[in-house]
Amino acid sequence: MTTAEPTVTVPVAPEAARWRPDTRGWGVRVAAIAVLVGIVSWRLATLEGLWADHISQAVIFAIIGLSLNVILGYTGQVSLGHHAFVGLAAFVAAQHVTERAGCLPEEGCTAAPAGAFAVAVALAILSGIIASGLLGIVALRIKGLYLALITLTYGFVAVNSIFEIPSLTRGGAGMPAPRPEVFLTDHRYMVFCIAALGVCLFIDWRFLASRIGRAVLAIKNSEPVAASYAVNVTAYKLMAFMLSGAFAGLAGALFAYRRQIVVANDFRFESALLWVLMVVVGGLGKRAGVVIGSMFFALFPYLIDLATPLSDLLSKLDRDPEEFTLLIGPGLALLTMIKFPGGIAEQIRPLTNWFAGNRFTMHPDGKSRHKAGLLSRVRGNSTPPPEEST
Amino acid sequence: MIAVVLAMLLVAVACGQKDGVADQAAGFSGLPAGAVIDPETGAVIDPETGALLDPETGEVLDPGTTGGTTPSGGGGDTGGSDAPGDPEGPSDPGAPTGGDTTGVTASTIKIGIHAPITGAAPVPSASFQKGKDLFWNYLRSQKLSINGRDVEVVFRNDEYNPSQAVTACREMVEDEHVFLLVGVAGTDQIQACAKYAASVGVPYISAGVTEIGLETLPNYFAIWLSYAQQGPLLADLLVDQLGAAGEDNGFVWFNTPTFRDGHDSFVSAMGDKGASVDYDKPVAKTAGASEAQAIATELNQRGIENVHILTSPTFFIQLAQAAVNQGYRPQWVGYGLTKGLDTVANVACKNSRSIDNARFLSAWPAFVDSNKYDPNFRGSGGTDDIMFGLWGISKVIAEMLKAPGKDLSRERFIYYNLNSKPYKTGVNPDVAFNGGHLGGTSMHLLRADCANNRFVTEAAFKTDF
Amino acid sequence: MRTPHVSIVLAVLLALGLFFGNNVENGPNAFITLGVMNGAVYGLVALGIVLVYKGTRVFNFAQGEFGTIGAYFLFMCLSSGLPFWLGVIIAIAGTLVLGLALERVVIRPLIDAPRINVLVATIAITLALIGLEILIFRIEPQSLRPLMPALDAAGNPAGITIFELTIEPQRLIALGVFAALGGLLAWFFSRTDLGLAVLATSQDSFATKVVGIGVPRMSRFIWGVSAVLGAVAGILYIPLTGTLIPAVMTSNILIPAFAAAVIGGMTSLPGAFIGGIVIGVVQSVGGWAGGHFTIGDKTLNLVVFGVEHVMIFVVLLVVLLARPQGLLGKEA
Repeated sequence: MTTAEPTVTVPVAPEAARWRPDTRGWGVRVAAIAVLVGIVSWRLATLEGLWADHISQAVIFAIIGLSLNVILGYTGQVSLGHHAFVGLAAFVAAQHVTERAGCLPEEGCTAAPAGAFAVAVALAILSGIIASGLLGIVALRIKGLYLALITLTYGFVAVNSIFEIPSLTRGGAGMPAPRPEVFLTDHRYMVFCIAALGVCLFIDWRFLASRIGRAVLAIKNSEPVAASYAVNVTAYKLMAFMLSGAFAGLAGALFAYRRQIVVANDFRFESALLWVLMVVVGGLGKRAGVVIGSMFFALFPYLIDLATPLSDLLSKLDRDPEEFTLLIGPGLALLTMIKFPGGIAEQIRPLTNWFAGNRFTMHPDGKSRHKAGLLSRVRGNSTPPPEEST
Repeated sequence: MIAVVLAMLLVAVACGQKDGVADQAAGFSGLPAGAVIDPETGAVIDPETGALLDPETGEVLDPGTTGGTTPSGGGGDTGGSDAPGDPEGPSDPGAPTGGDTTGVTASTIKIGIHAPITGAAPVPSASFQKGKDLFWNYLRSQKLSINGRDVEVVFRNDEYNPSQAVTACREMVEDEHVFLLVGVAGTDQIQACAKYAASVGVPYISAGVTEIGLETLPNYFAIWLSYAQQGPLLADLLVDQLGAAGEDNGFVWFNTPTFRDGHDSFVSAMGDKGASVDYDKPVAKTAGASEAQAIATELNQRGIENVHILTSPTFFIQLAQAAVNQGYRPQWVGYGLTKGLDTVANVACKNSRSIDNARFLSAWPAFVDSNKYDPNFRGSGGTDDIMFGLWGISKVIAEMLKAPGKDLSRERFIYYNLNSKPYKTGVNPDVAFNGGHLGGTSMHLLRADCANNRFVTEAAFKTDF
Repeated sequence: MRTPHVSIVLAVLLALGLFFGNNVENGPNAFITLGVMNGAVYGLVALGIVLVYKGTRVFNFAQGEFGTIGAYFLFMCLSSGLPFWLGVIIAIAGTLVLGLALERVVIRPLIDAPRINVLVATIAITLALIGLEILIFRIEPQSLRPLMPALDAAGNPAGITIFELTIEPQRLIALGVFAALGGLLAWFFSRTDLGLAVLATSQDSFATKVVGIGVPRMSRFIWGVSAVLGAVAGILYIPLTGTLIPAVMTSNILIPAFAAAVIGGMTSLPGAFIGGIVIGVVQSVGGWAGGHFTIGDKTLNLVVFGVEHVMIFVVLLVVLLARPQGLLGKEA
């Protein structure tokens, strides 16, 4: 990481000038990663009770985080209506399996046909791309902060109108979404979710490293400058929105099959706002940070349950850990913005840098924090971002 | 907290060891369910109705007094009789033996309840938490038990959300290993959870609500009238008592397929009684104050005089408020459950009297009248109607758990309850399954008394009006 | 300058609508009246949004929740037995203190950050306030006392009937308060030194710093005033819904209020006023049209859920796409 400040020009980082670990250094890094992966897989394989389900939820949150990260972190705009995209995709996925492929739980269908499931997931992703693409078209014509307003309003419309269409959602009772035979157990479903997250991370990485990705970042930094470099602002922005929509669609499908029933009540505007905050806490534009931040937001109530003295205190106060999510989440977000810009990603940067084959130093940029605002920080794009080495 | 748990454990152990004591406490083993010996006459009677019962079958000897409204002051299961009986319970040659005994130990039965204490239509958490244990604590204090077993209740919040309800029920089944599940409020949540329970073979006791997709589930037991069964009852009330035949009537209901049967049965029952439903409006479950305003204005504009409301209590309060804001005050009526709670009256009456004289069917009498139906309730520390409702439900569940006798398994529980005698508990309307899954027989009628911010019992154990 | 013209056009349109709607059975008249009345509350919240935008160029998503918090303050005061008027004063003061504290702790440190940071910060504030309400009061609905009840002691409607709709006293009070506050603020920004200084701050914070106007002081002032506006709106509006529940102002009022502010171009106080009325009427008439259709002598119940929200979305989209500076604003 030699590029300190992000720039619009296509940066060139000469390989020779970079410090590289020797063979032993690489060995240590690979071993550390192997041990880490080993421990995590062992823990995942031996999960008890509903923890596999909780992990699935965390992984779905991570994908939602990545989706929002594309809009917030890469294009620099705010979507407050992501619950609508995720929700629409979830209903599309559920509706295809039940109403169209005919796997109706009330008629004794317990497992969806694998083919229908695959089509349903594809349709969900498509619905995300279309909805998000439409938003992108609007976003191109509306300046800056107004997009936040439009998306928030769209979220209310979706929840109150679209999610009430009986043939799509079965009103308030919810649309069942039976899983296919292969993923019937929570454990298997969790593996499926983790695999989906892996795919998203890979696509996200390749996207950002591609011409389009670099162009999108350039547009964010300065649209006029980017345009003067003959960057097709409109098309690239739209592509970023559609990528975000694809992730949201996938997350929606996973969401539907996780609980095997989708209800409009699952998608409240509070969740969309919370998702924005979880990306901020994770660190805008930073893949690893966003994934960690999102997972923390999803698992937080269950983690409280684990801390017995704390959960005892809460039950004595007659309070549910989940009720604290709306207090802790915003609190962390404010703390991030005011005291620790860059979020979790910034805090774990020495580590991710080391994994990527750099020296371990507390201040990789040679500067202390407080140097950039929330959205102005963009990754240097000369080298593959550090966290991809896993 | 810990002290309470310890105390419960101690009681549980004590009860488990003293089988004899428990068995001698009668009403539990020898007599027909719910019956007691009148201390003066020695006759076997139903403690609530005072009706004479056949000591063997538990049938009411004088059918004219069934479900009567002349409750005696007698308590529920406290009758001190030492009538001989088989402590091992009934012996039915056709009954299954053995079976799944998850959640049942020598001294305890663990049951799970889900209900919304957060979400769009929450029940007050504190009363629910206290109420779910009230009756079982009372049994303990009276040294009574379910065939030598104590009942332990676990609770999960379903957040008024069907998908969360499934998660809550899974937690209770997989983590807590409960014997059976109970759903007391929230149609969509009950339906979702009951279907889940059926898929894992767990008995499910429900509060009536919808029949769609439920009445055929082998493990399903509705202990109140379903909405579809309440439809004709409500049409009766509207036409015969409130003179709705010549008036304009409206029906506002949440757009959910689980209300479809309740909706259709009401509309057709109104037609049968020669009354019309002139304004029939589904509302989004997510609707808020602005929708309430629009609907109130429409109702007002069309001069609807009676409105049947089948929504969450919160939306009902908003609708009633929006109506009273316009000086429009229709007769509100509705099916049983959460809208007839004192908390609703308290919020809606306090500053606006918006629901004065609203009438709701209910599965328990109003709290203010609770002593008339079971004095032990207040004696045990019951302080509101939610606790009273839970008390009534618990009494029915106690009878249902007793039905298979000492040898309690899920299979035997289902078998014996499907073929049981009617359960008369004096608070909950009588329950009789007769081989089916819908056990409700009658309803109470509550009326909002806004002068005192509460509901009062207008009629009890009604099968028609 | 355009304000009077737009107002006149609006008034003429409303009058025409009411005139022709007069003889239609189940016509829109009652809904138009209702819309105007709702518009007053939207406008009141929109005033706060416009004020913060004028002063700091920030979208304040917490404006609605100031109202809910104010209403809960009042509820707490009334529960502890304080007289109503004292409760109102304490509630407004409490919300003022809250607004000032949030400004000091959250907004001030971000004063030089990109505007979008502050926007996200106001979202965080909104969610935190909702979380706090849920934690303390749970989602159980509570009842908040209106200034004047809708029924008199005998149980008869206490309101007056305007165009086929009885309007309760609380709404009339809301309308009056709204008009008074709007006028006061308009006067303040056009006639007082402080008001002009606030405007100057919003135009160019660096320049005003150089000239010697304290930006922190302006920021504090603006957030204080908008918190008070929010509290007043909450105390006036929530009794109309009958239920005081967490997030009630955010889910019911915030979006129409933002739409009203956008119609007014985000910077115009009279624009917020007119925008509020427009949004109120459009929403309400939309609800009427979505509720039923009359074809010949047959009335059909048309089931379109959430028409009220769709109408706002459409209006917002059209205004932002076709005329981003709003009907009255000078710039976007």
